[in-house]
Amino acid sequence: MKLVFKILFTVFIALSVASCIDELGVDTQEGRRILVVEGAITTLPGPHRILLSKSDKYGDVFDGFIRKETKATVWIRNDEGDQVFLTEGEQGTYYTPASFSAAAGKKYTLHIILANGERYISLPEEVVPSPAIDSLSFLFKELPTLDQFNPNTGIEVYVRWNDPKDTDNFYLWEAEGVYVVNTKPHLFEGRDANYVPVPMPKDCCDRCYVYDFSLNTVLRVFKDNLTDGNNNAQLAAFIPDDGKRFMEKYLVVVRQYSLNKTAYQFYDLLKNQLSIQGNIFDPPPATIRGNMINLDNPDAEVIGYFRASDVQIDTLYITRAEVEAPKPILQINDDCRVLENSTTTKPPFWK
Amino acid sequence: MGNNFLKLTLLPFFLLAASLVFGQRTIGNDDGSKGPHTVTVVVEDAQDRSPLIGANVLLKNNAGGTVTNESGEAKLSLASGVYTLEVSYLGYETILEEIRVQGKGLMRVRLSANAQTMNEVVINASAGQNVKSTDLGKQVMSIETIESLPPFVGEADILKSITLLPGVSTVGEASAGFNVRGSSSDQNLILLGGAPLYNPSHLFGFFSAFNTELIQDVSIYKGGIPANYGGRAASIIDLRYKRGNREKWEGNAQLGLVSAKMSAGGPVLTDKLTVMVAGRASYSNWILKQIKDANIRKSRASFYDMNAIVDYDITEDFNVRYTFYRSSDEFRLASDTSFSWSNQNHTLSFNKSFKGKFLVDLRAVHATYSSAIVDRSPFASFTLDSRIVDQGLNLGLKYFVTPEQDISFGAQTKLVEIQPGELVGTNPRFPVNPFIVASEKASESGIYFQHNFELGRYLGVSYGLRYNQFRFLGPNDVPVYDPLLPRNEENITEFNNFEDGEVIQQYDGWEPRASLRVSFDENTSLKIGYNRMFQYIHLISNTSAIAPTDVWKLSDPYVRPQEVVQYSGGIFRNFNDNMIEASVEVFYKDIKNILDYKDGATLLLNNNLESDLLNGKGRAYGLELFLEKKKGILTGWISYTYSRSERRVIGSFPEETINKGEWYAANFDKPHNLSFVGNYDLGKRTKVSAIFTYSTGRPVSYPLAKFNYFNSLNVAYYDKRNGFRAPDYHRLDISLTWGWDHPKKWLAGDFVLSVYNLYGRRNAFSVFFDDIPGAPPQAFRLSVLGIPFPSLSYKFDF
Repeated sequence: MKLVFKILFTVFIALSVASCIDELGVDTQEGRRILVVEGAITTLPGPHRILLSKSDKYGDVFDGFIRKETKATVWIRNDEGDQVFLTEGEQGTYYTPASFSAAAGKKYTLHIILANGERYISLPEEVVPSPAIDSLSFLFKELPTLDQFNPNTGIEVYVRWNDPKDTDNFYLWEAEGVYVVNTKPHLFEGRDANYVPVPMPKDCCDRCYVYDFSLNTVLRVFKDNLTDGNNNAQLAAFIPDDGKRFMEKYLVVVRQYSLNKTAYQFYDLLKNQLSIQGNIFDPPPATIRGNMINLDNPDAEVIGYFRASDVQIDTLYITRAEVEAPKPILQINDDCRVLENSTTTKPPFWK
Repeated sequence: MGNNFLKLTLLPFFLLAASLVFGQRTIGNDDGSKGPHTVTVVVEDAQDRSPLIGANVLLKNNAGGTVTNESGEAKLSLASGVYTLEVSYLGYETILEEIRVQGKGLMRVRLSANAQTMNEVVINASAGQNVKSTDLGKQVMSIETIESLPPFVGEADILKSITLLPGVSTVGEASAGFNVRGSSSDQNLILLGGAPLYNPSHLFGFFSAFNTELIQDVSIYKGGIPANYGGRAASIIDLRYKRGNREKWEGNAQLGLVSAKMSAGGPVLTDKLTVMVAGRASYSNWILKQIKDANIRKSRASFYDMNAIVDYDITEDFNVRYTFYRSSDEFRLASDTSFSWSNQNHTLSFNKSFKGKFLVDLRAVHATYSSAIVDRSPFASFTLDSRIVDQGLNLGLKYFVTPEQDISFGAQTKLVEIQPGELVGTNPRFPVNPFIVASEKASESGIYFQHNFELGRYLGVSYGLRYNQFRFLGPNDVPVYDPLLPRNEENITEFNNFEDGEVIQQYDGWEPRASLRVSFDENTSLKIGYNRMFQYIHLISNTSAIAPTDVWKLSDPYVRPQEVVQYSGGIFRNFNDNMIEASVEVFYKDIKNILDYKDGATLLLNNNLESDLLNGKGRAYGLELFLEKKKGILTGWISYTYSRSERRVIGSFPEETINKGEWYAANFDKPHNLSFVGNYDLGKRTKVSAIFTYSTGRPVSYPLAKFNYFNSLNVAYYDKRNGFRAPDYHRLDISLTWGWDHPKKWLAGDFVLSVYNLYGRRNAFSVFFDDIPGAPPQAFRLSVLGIPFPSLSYKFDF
């Protein structure tokens, strides 16, 4: 009898894994090259960044290579007629002067003349004031995973704020972090000529501050239609525990951007598009446009949104002791400076 | 041994049959008139007294005869005299009876199921009925047929079986919807014992929500829809309940891989009051809990359904029936969200027959569909409840003027209330403002008239007219949009307030229906038909399965009723004494006011849903071929359909136009559909069955380009809907049924071993484009059940 049940289980387990995702290997149609504009100006000091590129065929880089739009003339103008020109840094990346910042309540337009002479303009973007962040808090979170031996855990950072009553408010959150890593450079092993590991202790350095720019993997946008005027809480960031981040202390910086309605709609559509996984509840794909217009041909397609936001910032320290079930500390036998975005210099704001 | 046992039990029936042959019945009172007199012959199943539809009633030595109608009645027009009547029905013993006709009258003939063929012959709609009747686009499937098909996880499935018929398609696994002749799935009216079902599926469409044990048969009307049906624009799926056995209690039980079911029925007061009850429940929750993987262990998936049918015969001609049905589903993802839905129906009907000449049917229906989403996320957690209440009263009258002519008429009215959603926060520390999408209320009434008659043997005419009145009722605040601007929230200029019960908008509709049959001989006929139907309730969904996130919406000042005009025709021919039935049918549909969605539409919790909806036109056309072998060791059918379903949406503004105003394929448009169904009888209660289906892949949108955005992710850019297709769908299922001859009843059951998707085809449930790390951005396919899936079930009688 026991065997019968075992068989039944096996069969039902088959059902749970019977749904699978595989590559389809279809060739999409020849891609169209459409101008893509991504960028924002905020009430923070500059430089602010605008990225220009062209879309290409859907597929890998050999199939369709995303080309940056270089040598374009880019400027921003406000509703009082003041304008500021942007200068190109890396290819296709244009920066405002460091002194430039947007002002709440003002309207801005982005102007672009491409190297080939095509002219583009954004619809006027108004900077809606953002309410201040009340506080940040965090929760330990275990995410489902198929790997039993390596739980998928991390810290959810929630933002609380008082939503202004009787107005439609739209928000976007981004987060960055800084954390301390302790490594063991004296245990470093190099390789000899025959690729045999040999101890090659390093003198420096065993303590670094690592800047974490990889938290914004999901577009976190929100509208207040269901919680208008409340003291709201929303998930602003998820910090995965990789055995490095919570060795000692983690500082998370949350930026709360105000959006206007059209910006929210654009980001929400983009978020939906990025979340499609073929599931039952998936929304159908939709055409993503934005607020840019081709001046010479208003019917021509342009992708992207030029955003102008007010910003509120708050920070929070999370110590290892506060993490409910921290992962074992990853032992790194090397100079901590080899880690990406790491420095031995203590950040001026670090407490 | 077993055979002898069966023969012994059937001996009384043989004796009864023999006695009937030698006896003579007298019909009518001798008033001296020579006639002709109308003799009504009611043919019933001897065991449960259910009417046998399409039984042959023949006069010996006269070559005359007819078949019984849906009440199991056949009308004969006979001069006074003595006749020998031969009554036969496929799978039943034939009865010969001598009658003396003196005047008009009624006689009942009870046929017993034929012991020799009980487990061998697939009992289907009566022989030759497809050619002889004026019905067009109608198909009847018996439960025996449905149960003979390879089951999925041991469950015979009515809706999945229907999709094997010509003109009916489905978008794939895990989708409750099916599409009839190029129409959307909400255009099917599913009636269970006369009450509408809003969600006919369990577990997102893996199973139908009906227990087959209580269902007598299923009628599918794809075209030529009689005027007594209304409210949905494409098809009627009418599931008729069985009646409890009048003579003794009996029942059966089935154990399957994920669920078990049981049914029992019998007399409470002999010959007067019978009941039948059935229940089905899944034990999938228990199975899920045994699995180590937390992702699965913390998930829940369960369902149950139950039915009760109570029949009381006040007199032999006056029946009262109460039915109850409830289905329930709960589905919880390991994360934080759970979904649940349930149907609950009550019906009460009075059925009186006046000498078999005049039938009155009065039916009260109360149907509820509710669904809920519960979010358990740590902060702003909520529950979202929605509900539909549908209450109706139907009166139907049917008058058999002559054996060749009948007239039906009646009136129907119902009140439908939809509460699309009420959101309630469940965490007091982080309040979610209660949000209620305004309820909708409407009355929908119809009166109809239907006349069927035959002119000689070669011409049949069936026509009808239905008049609908739909009233969208208050209380409601109806927004007024600036007519010069796109219809969206910003452009609302004011709200018109309506009091409770006030008529906000009224739509009237005339629905003519007609079909004509021309028979060339006994075995061949040509039929043409015309149909017009309105629909006042719409399923607003942009997901592929009927899910709790879907919204039902009534027609209002902005959402006009859908209107479908269908022209159809067909040639029907039978061969080899009705052993093989063949048909070719064509149809064309003109659809007005179909609904589609703006890009990025918000369907849930939207108080101004009309601002996210677009009105368009549709057209569908197709060709259906059907060939069925009904008798013999090998039975089954081949069905092939070529059909297209297209839409066009042109609004006043670019955002209200889809695909630049060009025609595009509907989400469920699948041009080629082919099904093979075969049952091979190996004798001794052993049988092999197989299904093969093939269809064109469903339409998908392919990106025109990719662009870099949001941390240099590759994002797909779409500009047209449904321009491409998912890979073709095909699948083979087989099953082996084996009955054990054992003297103990509970051991003498049937084992069914089946394998779903025998060769493990990975059919695409969906095709999507994604930029997953480690691979170039590309198209992916999600397949559900992409491996051969075996299952075993055991069913026995008690």
